[in-house]
Amino acid sequence: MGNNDYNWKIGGQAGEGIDTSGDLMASSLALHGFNVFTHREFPSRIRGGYTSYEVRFGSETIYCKHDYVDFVVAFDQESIDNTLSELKDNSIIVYNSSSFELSIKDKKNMKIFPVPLSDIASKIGNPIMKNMVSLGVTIAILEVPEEILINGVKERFGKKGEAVVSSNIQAIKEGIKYVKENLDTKSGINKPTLGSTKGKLSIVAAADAVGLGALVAGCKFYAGYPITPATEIMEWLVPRMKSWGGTVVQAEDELAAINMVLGSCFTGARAMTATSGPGLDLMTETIGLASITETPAVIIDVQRAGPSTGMPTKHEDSDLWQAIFSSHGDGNRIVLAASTPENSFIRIQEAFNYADKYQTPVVLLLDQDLLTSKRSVDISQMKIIPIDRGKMASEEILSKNTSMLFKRYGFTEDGISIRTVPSQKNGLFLATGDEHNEEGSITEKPEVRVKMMDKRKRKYLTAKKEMEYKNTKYGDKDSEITLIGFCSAIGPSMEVMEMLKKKGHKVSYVDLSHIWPFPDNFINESLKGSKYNIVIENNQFEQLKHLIKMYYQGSLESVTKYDGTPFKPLELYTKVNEVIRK
Amino acid sequence: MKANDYTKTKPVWCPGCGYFGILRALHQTFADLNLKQEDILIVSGIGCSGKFSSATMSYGFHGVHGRLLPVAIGAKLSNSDLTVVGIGGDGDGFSIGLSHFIHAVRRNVRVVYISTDNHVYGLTKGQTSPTSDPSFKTKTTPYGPEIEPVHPLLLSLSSGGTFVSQAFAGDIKEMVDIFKQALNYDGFAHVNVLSPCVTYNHVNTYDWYRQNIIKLNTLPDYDPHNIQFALSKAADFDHVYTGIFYIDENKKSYNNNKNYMPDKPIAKQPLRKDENIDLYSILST
Repeated sequence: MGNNDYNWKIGGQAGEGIDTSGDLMASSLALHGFNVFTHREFPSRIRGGYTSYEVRFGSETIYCKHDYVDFVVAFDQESIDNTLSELKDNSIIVYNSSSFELSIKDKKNMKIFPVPLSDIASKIGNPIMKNMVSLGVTIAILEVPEEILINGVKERFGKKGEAVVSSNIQAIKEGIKYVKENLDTKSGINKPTLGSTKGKLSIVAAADAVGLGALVAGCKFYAGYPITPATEIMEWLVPRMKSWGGTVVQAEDELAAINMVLGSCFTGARAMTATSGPGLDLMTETIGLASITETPAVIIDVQRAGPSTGMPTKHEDSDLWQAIFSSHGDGNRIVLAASTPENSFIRIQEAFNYADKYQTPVVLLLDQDLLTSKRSVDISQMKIIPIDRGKMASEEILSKNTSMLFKRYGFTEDGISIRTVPSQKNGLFLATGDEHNEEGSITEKPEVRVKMMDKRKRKYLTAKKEMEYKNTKYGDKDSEITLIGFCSAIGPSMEVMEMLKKKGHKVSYVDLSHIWPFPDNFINESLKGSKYNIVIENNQFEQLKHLIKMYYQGSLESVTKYDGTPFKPLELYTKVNEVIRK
Repeated sequence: MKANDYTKTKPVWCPGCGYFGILRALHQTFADLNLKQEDILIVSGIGCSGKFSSATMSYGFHGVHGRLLPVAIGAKLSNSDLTVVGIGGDGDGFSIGLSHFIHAVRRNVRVVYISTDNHVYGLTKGQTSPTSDPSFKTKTTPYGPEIEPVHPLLLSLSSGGTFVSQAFAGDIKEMVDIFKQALNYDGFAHVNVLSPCVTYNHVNTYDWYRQNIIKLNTLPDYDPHNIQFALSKAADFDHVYTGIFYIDENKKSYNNNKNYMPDKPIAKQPLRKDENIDLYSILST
């Protein structure tokens, strides 16, 4: 920590501009080419409440939130109390001495700067600008060139007009001036080393990436019911959807949302919904309906701490079993998982392709931290993938159909039947949640039932062939220590991988992105010859470990965390070492 | 086209079921309006009424219990060229799916909703329904439900319903007349069809309805554009009325909403117009 990897944090009450200043700090550094990883804490309430914004930055890739904070700006005592365990010997504290007197028991060798942030902001006639003043104070103490922040302001607020830009710059400069005139920052300051960087980066959260990915994939219908944290996706889509030729509907509940999506997909549109655990619970029955009617549908589940209401704004990866197995009967589906903003953009496009191609519901798993934490992204690396609609009935096929009804569920070798949609002549069929024959007519004949069940199963075997090797093993192919995870486990695992490599180990991280149908061959090959196979997962039940055990006979350990926060790298390193030493 | 052109299979309803009349009237309406089979989508839910979608030669969607209206709305918002008819029973629409009914009325998407109301659960063999009379004895309510029934027409009117009507399954001519107006109406059109269940409802029989029904258009003060008239008749629980209770021809459906709906049907647009998408400018705004 420190030097080429620096962690800055700002904390206060919601409404004090914490997010704005955090965003500006992060985007300015990214614009200058630094890698950035941000982490927000926010309460589950409407106004007020403690909130914080961390910006970890450096010139090397940064994968996650860090264990320690190098520099904290505190607007109140609560910000300090909540950060205390993350502060270390040479951490820097800047606190708003206009509003409180800092109380801290063990000061270690911390550098503590009382700065009357509110008074400085009031002096320039804008008390609300204390957050911008604090940014000026930050860069002055750290000797970060002020142009980095000034350019960031111009880029970020330029559209809001010259007055907004200049008042923000003025506040920043007042902060810088205060430091130069009043504080001794000559010695004992732990500063970041600002090495060379490449190009300009943007800060993107998965909420934006997945929303844009959906538009790029041709999603023109979104129905959803507000739920934390998934609503961010809906809110991103609302102002954009109409100009892309589609519409967004706020449904009366999640039952309506998923059923609207099915109605839309049935007509041949690409449609999706996004929700979190409790909403996915409600959608369960309809996912089974999509499965048996072979109606494409894309469902994003942004995992949060459960069960029930659990901790709505807190992080957890505990919906894995639900995503795969919820819904009664032998209903099948595809389950994907994203782990970064970049691959969220890819994964949602794949989800739409798979939904069409395999005529199935697709659940895409994200999680709270991934959705809301902005990271530096090289947008030029975000790939747009070709649209694949699968076996849609062509005019030629339709014109050859002499029967009144179309064999929409025709028995085929790969399990995938030719699909028609309303308005298509000679394509009539019934989509029904009852078991049915090739034309969709309801039947309970044992032999048809078995053939239809087997047809649907073949479809998922076909899907598995395409998807299995899209999972990724990072690091050493012949690893002796293999970490395995999904969604946000990637960040801390990649850092632990680097730490273990430095100790001379051969290490890899397996990021499960195409989880269901389960990639059993890929897993068996990835774990072959590895001495320690350790699943890293943010849940108590060891959901991923047990899932893998259904298909893998070798040894498997699990490291879990379920306190509502993602793993931190040093914390995970310790836990992984405990497993290795056993 | 003839009514028979829309007939696919004979549903396995009890002989004499009111639903046969409703199905006949619906197919006659399609024929009279000369609709193409492929442009019709019938959405049904669960219960005896679930069979309407499999009995009609058209596209059909037979979904889960109580959710036919969201499916119908999603379909119509995505392809406004389709004629979308949702058909479901009183259990489907006014018990498990009640909230969707109210919100469908509010949303005013151009969907025809036929609630086939027989005051009893038939397919599960005779339990109380949300529209059962408080004294109607069933296996699950041996003394009668002894709770107030749901009043679909009042609910619709109080939720801003703009096409509120009731018909009787024993009167095909009147059903065809109302169905036609519903299909031509630019908005959410609700027809509650009172339908005898010959097996489980021995109170509300064909004869009972014939003796009790009053046709609204025979009343001297009949005015389907007067909401006060509609409310007074919908709240008159001592009589049974059929006909159009209320119609507002000035209100346009949500499908015409210029703020939220695109100009062209969603399902008929190319998925991707342009391969050169400037991701940077989109993500930085």
